[in-house]
Amino acid sequence: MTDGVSPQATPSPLPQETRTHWALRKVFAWSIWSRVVYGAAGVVFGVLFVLELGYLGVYRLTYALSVLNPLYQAFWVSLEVVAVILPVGFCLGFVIGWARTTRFVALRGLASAYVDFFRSMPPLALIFFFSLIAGLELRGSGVNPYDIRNLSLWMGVVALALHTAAYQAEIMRAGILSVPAGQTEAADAVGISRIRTMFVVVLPQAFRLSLPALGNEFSSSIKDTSLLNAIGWMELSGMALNLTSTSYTSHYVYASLVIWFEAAILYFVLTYVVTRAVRGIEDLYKVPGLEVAR
Amino acid sequence: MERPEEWMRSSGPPPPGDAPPVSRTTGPLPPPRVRPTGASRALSSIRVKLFSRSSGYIAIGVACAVAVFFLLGALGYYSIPFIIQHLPSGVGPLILSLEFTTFSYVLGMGVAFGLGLVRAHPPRLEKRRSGAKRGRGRFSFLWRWPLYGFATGYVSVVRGTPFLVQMFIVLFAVTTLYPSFTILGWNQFYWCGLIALLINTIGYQAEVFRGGIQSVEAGQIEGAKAMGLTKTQTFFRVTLPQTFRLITLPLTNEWISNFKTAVILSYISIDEVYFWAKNDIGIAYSRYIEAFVMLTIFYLMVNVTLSRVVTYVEKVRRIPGLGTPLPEVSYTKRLLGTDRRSSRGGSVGPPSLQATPSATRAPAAGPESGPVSVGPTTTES
Amino acid sequence: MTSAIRVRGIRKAFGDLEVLRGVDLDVNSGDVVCIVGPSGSGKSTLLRCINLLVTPDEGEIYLGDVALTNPHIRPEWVRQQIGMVFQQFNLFTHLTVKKNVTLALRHVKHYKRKEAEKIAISQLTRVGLADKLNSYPAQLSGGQQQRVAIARALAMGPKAILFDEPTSALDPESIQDVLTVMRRLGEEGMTMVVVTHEMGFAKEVADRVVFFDAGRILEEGTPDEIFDRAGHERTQSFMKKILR
Repeated sequence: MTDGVSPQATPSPLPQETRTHWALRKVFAWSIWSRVVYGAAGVVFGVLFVLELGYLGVYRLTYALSVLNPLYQAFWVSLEVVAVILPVGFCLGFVIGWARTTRFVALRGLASAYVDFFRSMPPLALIFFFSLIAGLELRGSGVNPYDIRNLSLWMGVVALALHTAAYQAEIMRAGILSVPAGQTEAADAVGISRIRTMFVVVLPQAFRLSLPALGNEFSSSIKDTSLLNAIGWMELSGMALNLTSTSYTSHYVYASLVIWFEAAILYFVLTYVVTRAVRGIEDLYKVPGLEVAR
Repeated sequence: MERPEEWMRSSGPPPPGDAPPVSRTTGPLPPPRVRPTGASRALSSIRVKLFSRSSGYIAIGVACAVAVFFLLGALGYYSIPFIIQHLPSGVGPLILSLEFTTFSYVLGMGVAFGLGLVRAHPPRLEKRRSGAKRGRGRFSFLWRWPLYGFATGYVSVVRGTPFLVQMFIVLFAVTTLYPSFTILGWNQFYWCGLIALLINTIGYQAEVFRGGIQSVEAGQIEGAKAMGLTKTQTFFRVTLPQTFRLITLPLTNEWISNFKTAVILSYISIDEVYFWAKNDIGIAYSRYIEAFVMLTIFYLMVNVTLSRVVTYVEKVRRIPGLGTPLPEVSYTKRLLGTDRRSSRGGSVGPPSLQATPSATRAPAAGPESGPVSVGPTTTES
Repeated sequence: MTSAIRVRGIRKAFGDLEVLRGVDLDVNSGDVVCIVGPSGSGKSTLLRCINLLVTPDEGEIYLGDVALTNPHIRPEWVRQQIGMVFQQFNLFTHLTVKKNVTLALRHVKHYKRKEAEKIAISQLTRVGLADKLNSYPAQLSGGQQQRVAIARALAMGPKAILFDEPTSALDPESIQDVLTVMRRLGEEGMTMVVVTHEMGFAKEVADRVVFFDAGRILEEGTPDEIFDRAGHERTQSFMKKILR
């Protein structure tokens, strides 16, 4: 077939795909492989249950379950922190993102400085130093030590909120800038004031456009909360570290691995739920005809 | 016989009246941008860099930052002499940080490219009217789906869990087998950290590559096919060159993000720059503010330098009109999420392809079978 | 005149949407056939079936004596015989004009670089863009880009060229440039199938006009027949709207 084909007057009719072939493809494509994570989790737990019968001794189900409880309690602490960081970060990020699009150079410059600073610094450093410095500054004054401790813990959370606000500012700014300029022109032509245009025309569209990236950002900041244990928060990773340090008492070789696997699963669940929630919000806000088809 | 040029008289005499003469195709056009060679190229590149507006802004920004630095120091928040005296001792740890980041980054590129390639072509399930189909074997689904599922699962898991957790999993997995070893002067903690960082960066880079491959315009690929190029040829001659131009920025952002993630290695006592700042400066001298300022200096230096270098390289190698927006104005890229930060942690887990609004609003995902693809995605086909 | 392209009973559905419902078309060698019709009627899909960018579900396509729907045919070979010019030009933005034209020559037909360049230069001269060899597509105007696309298609030496709304993305001034090139090609005897909304062009250059609607050919005939004395009611209403 170097040059194509030998001429044929009538081609042979092409066979229809057999039903078994089609069914095989369908089943194969759908059930396991496109749900690989769920399936894998199911398979893993099934196998591990069998192993618990003591045959291979790699995984001890009883130990895993005993460890799950404290991790689950710590999960709620993580959730509490996340519930604070996400809204605060969003509001602050929105304000700063808007500031980056204004005409006033001073405001823009300040906002840019903020964003550049908080995007360059690693969150762990931000958490640690903010919290510590706040605590140290307050030590001389007459504030109750218990309150100082509390405040320094929450300063770490504030640091994370500021950090995520910087990224969200960029996302909001991108969203605002991608609303076509024609929209503001049209609003102007009708006589709507600039501020009202911003609120009624630009922001709703900007919000809709930036939702996907915001979902990613939310999940990133959830993962950053794992660093809060550095200042004393007993959230999910903190509890995992705690358990790991005492896990040698169980005389189970893979104890620490089990602990961290479970922590991973819990984080996974958390990020997944949040991302799905954001996707739900996207669906709520979608405009027929302008959807990005999935 | 007419000379060809004569057919091409594209603008005739200007219409009567006050319509301005259309001069688009008459008159001399700007000379084509032939790639200059050698010295003249360097010269023109320098010209590009020095006189661009963005460089001006950066210069102002740096000047402001330096001014603020000295101001706050003068006010007594921290002592500048102390900082200047102790800054050099941080260079060693900084270099270690850079080593970790760069080694994992470079080593991971190959695998990440492969994963991205797999993820860029999700197998589709569609009823075929005829049994034989060009390009896909009858039973290719047997290995296509598992491969895609593996790539998707890997990327979802890596992007859905914090690096701290990944690091400890790698650490414990390795040390239960090999409690203590030293290779090339690095002990087991260093190697575990490197492996964990490698696994992490592969996950994120894969998404970057995938975004790059998928955002090459479908029209170009169609044009290539219509000319008779095979799929392999199209891939290597049309898709890949454009991909590399598109992903320069996201890959840089990924490096920066990797650099920031490497800080977490301090949990296992790896002596990198944050560890040094905390312990050797903060705890040793109780000078936490100075420690933080020094850390800031290091990080800002690295990040700003890197951004500038990348911008410069992009400008020099620019193809006129080809859309690689410059970093400081690429808000569209930020929005689209090719920024590393927004390419992190997409939808974790279970397979749900999310589409970010791409410039062409093209459909972005086929069946629900993958984590969030953050990244410009065009028709997934 | 031998029939260069014969299309028989083409059907194509995308999912549930049936785009082509049994299309029969004959294009004689040297003909210029213009396909007109409302948007979404499947004209572009028909063109893409002819050069196998889209595989029809049913039906046959013949190029001369060769059955293109035969699964043993290499689509790359078909596309060397039938060139295509797109609405969005689809030039390779990362390559110069010269490289755009020589890419396929060197890698599909395996010409050496010098021969490929000679052919490229002659085709670019033919469309009037010989001075733009080293420009990048983004530096050219729309009309120039489309002419480069035509030169690129011509360089492969095809037996027929398909044009998919070649002037729809151009400003009015550039449209005339491109149409002039196409008219010239038609006069030189190239077999062309053109999907277009330019009725003036169809009237003057086409040998046959085909009215396409809802996946079927409703009417076909000479330009006079279709434009002035259309039989079908749908054709008449369409022409009234278009020809104003």
